[in-house]
Amino acid sequence: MGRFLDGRKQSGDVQADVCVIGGGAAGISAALELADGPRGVTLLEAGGDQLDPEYQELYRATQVGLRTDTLQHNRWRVFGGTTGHWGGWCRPFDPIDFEKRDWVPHSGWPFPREALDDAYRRASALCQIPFGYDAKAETPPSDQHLFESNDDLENMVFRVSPPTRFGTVYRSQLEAAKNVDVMLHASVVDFELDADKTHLVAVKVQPLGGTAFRVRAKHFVLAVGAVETARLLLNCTNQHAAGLGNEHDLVGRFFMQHLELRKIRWVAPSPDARGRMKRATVSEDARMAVRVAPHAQRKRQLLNQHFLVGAFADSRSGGVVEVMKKKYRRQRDLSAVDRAAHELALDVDGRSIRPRTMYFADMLERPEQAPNPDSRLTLDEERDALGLRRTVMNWRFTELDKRSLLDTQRLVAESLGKRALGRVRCWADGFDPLDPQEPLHGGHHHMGTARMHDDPKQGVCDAACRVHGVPNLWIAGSATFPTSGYANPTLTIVAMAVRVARAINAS
Amino acid sequence: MSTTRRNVLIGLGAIAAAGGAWALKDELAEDYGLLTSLDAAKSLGVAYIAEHGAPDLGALETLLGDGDPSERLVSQVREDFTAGRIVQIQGWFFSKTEADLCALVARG
Repeated sequence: MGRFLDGRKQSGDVQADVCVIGGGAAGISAALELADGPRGVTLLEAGGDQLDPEYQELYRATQVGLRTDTLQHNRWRVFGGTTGHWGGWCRPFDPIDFEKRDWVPHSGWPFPREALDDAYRRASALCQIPFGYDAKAETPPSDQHLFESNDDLENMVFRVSPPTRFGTVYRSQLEAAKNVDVMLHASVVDFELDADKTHLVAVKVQPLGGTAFRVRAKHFVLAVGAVETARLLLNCTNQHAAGLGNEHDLVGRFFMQHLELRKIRWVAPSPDARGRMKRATVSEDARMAVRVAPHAQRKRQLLNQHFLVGAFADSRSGGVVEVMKKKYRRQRDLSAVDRAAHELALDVDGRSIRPRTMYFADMLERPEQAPNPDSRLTLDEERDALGLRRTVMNWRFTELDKRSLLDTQRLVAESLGKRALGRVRCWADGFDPLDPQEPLHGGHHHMGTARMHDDPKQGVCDAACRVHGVPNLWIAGSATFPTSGYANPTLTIVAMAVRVARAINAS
Repeated sequence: MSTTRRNVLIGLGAIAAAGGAWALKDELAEDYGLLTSLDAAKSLGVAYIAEHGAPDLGALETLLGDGDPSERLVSQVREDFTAGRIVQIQGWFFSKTEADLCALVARG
């Protein structure tokens, strides 16, 4: 039977066939895939069963680029990891996310989307959702869709997990597994290679307030999230001066997040417009959204992106001015042009509507971030309580990110305007995503810091997620993603972890 | 009133409430206290010219032409959006035709 152990009470080294480092969605998924197999598995989780501020403080980092949310709040060092506050939104990355696109530098995964389909099925089951993402299947066939199939925008589907709290839901399965030990309070602080420096033989574990020990294994799976993956590899300088896997100065680069923008205001002139949008965004057991169609991305050289429509208000619920005040928060934001724009939308697109009611919505815009080597994580001189140097986050966008956002907003305006479905306002007041002073909100989705590429000069790990030059060190999770897509990454993180575990099983 | 001026007002009416004119104090103005539409058009026109410079209104004046331009204008607005002929004014996206119409009002 699987045991749940406490690293603070461990005396002596541990021997395993597979050492999984990290007890979040990726680590638990990998362990489950290895469970009841022929190999002995030890899963190391840095946290315990409950959130602990002392542990969370270990995440503290310095931000020198675009500001984003603090790691102490958006990463959870606890068994189950960040799924403890996961929203549950799931969708596989689109096929175009895996393609090499000539207008997106550094794009392209080393395998096509189809190669992940089977792992996505398993990941959907682990996330407790059905495997099905066909927008047409989720909406009545005779319904009026907001966007047609040949439009530049198209409807798409997210599945929403309960959400699965991996630490809670899968604890009993791991306890029942005959070959899996889970050790909590077990922070990995170093890697030890053999004499040739090509094979990982052990990891050093330092429990906070405990005695250090080693876990020796044949395979190691690093599943600690994109930020901690880079931090651990860069901190490992005893045998590789630049850090483990960092021979070509790639670890920590290409740091990506999903920017969340609530900068689009949409005014719709009629119940028809409102109804169409509602049907395009809500379904019984799925959440509908709108994405930029792949053909439009190619034609206009855009990054992938999707939109969600926020809660509606309408002018019957207190009058246009009152609703607008609420939507715009401050009266001074309600310029004469704002008023005129609302009126024009009502007059042009809603000319036959009586009574004349205006509907308002804020659209959440979430784009793919372009891979950018200058968007990177490095190490600070300051060390945490475990002796590891802290992270410096330098999150950066490119001109492509900015142009793609602007052009996509224009695309939304065109698509709504030509159907008499209202007008939109975007990015007033000089908003600039390239300005480090601009307060931005990221989606807590860290990716890309140990990217996959078959060429060691362009990627930290190969297509199987083995670190180049250290073939028994596997990376499971979003650190390996060469591109970020727009979809919430958890489902793909789980799928990639399943894929890694299957590769170990097959090796 | 010149033909063009009259047709501007007809045009504004065309893209206003069915059968009404923008300057009409209908229930929209009464209930919600919004600007009358002619003022709205002027506001947009002034902002448009300030942000983008005075537009060439020749095509619009031709479109207004003789007779009731209502359907022509509404159709042209749709075509603008389809063809990507849109302008951004203080963050808002408008069709080129409706922006030009507002500029015409602002010019007086």
